[in-house]
Amino acid sequence: MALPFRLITAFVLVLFLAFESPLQAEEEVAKPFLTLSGYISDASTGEMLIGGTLYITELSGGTATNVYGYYSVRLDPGSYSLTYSYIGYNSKQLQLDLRNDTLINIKLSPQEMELNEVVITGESALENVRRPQMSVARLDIKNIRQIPAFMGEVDVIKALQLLPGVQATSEGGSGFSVRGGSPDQNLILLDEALVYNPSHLLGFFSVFNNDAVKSVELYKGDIPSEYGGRLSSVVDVRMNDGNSQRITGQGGVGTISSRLTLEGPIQKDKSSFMLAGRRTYADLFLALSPNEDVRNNTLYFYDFNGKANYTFNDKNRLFVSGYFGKDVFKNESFALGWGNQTLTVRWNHLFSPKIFSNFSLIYSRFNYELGIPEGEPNAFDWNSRMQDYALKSDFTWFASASSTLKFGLHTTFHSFSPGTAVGLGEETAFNKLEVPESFALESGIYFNNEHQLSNRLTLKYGLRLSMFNNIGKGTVYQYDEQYEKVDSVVYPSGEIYQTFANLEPRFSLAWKLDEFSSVKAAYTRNAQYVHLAQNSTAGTPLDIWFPTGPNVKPQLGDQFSAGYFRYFPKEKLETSVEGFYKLNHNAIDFKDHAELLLNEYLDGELRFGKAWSYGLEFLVRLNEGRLNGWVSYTWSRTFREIPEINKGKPYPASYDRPHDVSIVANYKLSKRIDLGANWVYSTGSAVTFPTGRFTIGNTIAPVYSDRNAYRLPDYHRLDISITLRAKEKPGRKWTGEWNLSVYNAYYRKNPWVINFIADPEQPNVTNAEMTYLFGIVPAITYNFKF
Amino acid sequence: MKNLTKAVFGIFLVLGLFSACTETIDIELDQSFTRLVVDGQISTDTMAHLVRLSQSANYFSNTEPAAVSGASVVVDDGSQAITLLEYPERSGMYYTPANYYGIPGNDYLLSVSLPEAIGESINYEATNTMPQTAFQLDSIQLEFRNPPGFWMVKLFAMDPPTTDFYRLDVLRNGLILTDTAYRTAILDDRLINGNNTNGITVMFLYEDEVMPGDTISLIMSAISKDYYEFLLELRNESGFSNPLFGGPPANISSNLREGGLGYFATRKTSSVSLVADSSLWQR
Repeated sequence: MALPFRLITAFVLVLFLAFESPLQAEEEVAKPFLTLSGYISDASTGEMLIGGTLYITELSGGTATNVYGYYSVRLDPGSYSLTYSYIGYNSKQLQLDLRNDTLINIKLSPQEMELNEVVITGESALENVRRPQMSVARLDIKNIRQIPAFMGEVDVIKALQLLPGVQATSEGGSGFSVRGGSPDQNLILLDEALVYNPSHLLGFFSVFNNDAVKSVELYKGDIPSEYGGRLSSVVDVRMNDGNSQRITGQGGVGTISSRLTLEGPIQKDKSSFMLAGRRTYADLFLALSPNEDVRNNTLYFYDFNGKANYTFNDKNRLFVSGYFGKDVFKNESFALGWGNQTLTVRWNHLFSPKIFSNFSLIYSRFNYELGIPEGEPNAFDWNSRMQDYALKSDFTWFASASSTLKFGLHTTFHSFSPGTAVGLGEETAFNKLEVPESFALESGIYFNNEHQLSNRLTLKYGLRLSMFNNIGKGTVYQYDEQYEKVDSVVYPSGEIYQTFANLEPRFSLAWKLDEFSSVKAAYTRNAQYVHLAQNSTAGTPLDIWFPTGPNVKPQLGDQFSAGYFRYFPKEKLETSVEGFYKLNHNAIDFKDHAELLLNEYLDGELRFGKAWSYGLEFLVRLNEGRLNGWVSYTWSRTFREIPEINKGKPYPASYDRPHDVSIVANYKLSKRIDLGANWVYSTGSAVTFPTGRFTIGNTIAPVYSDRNAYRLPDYHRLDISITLRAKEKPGRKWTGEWNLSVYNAYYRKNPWVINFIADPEQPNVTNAEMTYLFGIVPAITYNFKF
Repeated sequence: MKNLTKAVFGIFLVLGLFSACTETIDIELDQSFTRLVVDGQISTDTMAHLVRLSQSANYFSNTEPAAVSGASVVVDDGSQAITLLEYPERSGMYYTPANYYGIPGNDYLLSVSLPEAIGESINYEATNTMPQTAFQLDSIQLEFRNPPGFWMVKLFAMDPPTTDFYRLDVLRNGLILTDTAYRTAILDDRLINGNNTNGITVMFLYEDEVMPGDTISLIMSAISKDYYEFLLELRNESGFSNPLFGGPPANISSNLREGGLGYFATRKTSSVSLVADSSLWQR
């Protein structure tokens, strides 16, 4: 226990040091500073705009709104010309003679779809050049909708997979690896609640219903200190608040699913709600199948998003939001179901225009259940669950014109129930098998200061102290050197039996070369205390999360990154080059032939070592105008070295794919027609192939190469789409559009897996058989708004 | 796990929309070095027990494995050591005398001396302890189920309270049906420890594998944990895999020392039979 306390003391000291300078600064020049603050929102819906910018000509600088649409900036008294802007919206300019603290709430109107309109700013691009935050990408849901979607289902996660440094872990799946990290190292948040398994239908679709989503932010490095618990990335998904002006709806009827969203004011300008639902009907097609086996199956998923908010006054806002989703697959002899549930209650409070705070109460849960229905001697039921309760308080202090401080405290109570299997029926032959539950408390205290030292140099430095306590009731098994269980200890309820603490420094800087370009560098350390026992490359719903504990050390990650950022104002091109090096200590892998499901002795299947990756990412992005989209190229490598695996030699991770290209383009052909296309290319994933074989009885068995010594053929694919909008008629509220999309347009057979198997006809002959999942997949969707 | 994999393929089937397709492709693989392969078993049955010696080959060699002839093969059960004989017409096959049987609880040591080195060694050894598991095999039943159009073999047996592992084989009129790792059933008693199995389905047979009047026999063998794991790995690594389930490919374990492949196993066996009565077809 001594170490954590020392760490806390050190942390508090650093915190005070950080506070000290702006405090003193404030005293010296106490009076002259005034605060300009407010919210930036969408004029038509009242939706708060995340990352809306305020540019102050006199300062050649400005600020951006936070995730609640709030901005605050400290200024000398005087007159200023202000420009408020947001991509895809008409900017607003105004003159301000600042004499007192001033509140300006700004409503921006979305740009009409005029073709030859000259679009005004690259403000957010410039903001990105100025600020030290690097390795971040924000995707607005409008942009995501323009990307051709698999089966017409617009998908947030699939859009992220097109960004540099992000790789899909398998064809069509929603698992992804960021800068060589494992899929379980991504912190996926929906309105701050952790989503443990972001996939539907074995990963082919993600849990995020695009109608309910406002924006998505991805941090692939330089993770701000307000986030903790995962090594590789943060995916911060924010739901729509709900239209505060009038009741509206939107929805779509697609090839495999339909969705409907309703939103509107409860009390105008005071409170609003949003309700969104979606259900697939793939199983309706099953009835058409000539195969009885297929007809007898049920397969679908559905999900709901709901949100309501209430504005008490300018200082207090309350948000309640939730997600409920479920997947069902069953037939006469087998059933499998899984789902995520989240609930978030948040209270925004302004202590003063300078101090913005948010308090959140969060519940999140992932569970699955499978079994053979009662009536069979083999009937059984098996379920598994992961559940969190979290409390968070976050503060932003707009301390001075040059300094913004964030600090806060998070704590989460985890409850792990890895699996319980019981036989069903009186005659069952099966015993109850239960992997013991366990509990843990994960906490973090942080501060972060974004400090503009000069016109050229801005620093962002922060520190997070994270702590993890294993709490009884818990059973811990002890293992010998061969990883065989030798003993067990049972800890009573409430006893803290193991504590871990880590200091996680986060540092970055931006050096402005000129108005349009900058260089940035960052170092961050992250700790991860909860890990996923998942051995497959494609995500399955059968996830088991397990805590750090007496047998499992926390994973630690160090990342160094540096980049060059440049905006070309004439061409409206955002460009960047980033390089990174990442080192992951206590990386977890699994022994050969590991048994992860329903295994009480899971810890004995784990092997520890290190993982590292490095790479270069190039991005050219065009956000505005008739033609928009991006081109990205990533060169990267990622390796692991674990003493008991691959004879201790380093091996490439399966998602080591050195070359990766994405091209995303949208073209507004006319007022009513949009065209979209994306093309992806990447080196085939690293795989293990047999080099030799031997025969046991009539079975031919393989002798393998080194781990991941071979590669699948290169992956590439083109998707295209066309969107046709109905003619606008004045006075009519209903607007509709047809979207036709084609996935894998030139019929590339991308291998999903290559199996080496005996030829069924000829003895002693073995073949390599490739399985590919998709031919050309066309889809049609009708979307509407009213 | 097998059920699960089936279910997953079911999901793809169900989606139908996904045109999951399979085709044979050409792949260049590196050469592999040759190793000794042992495939041998001693059971409690009184019979000529077989130990087969062969060599591993390149993956796409596509020929019968090369037999290892002229070796000295000795099985020692602690009290006596017998030399197995290779019949001239069956190269690489070494047999015990026909009156030989294994005794539960004994440690069996296999010693192989090769006429010339394979890999880096001339001498190879393997040991296996014959399990003493006190299981009771009572009977089996057959039931045809459509869908999925298979015969289900239902097992009635008593598992003792110890930690046990089993291998199950089915014969039709004395000929083995479960002749590959994929069809041989293996069972651990984690879920059924100390219980009567009450007719759980342990195996599936194809529709045309059972005809009226056929004698269907089931051999239940208690095996060691190691051999169970070998069979499980053999099955997983020789069949289809998919990226959703199962981990990365990994080499199959062996109890051969000095870098040999394969397994020298012992089994405590018991068997039951039934005659497929025409009433089974009245459904």
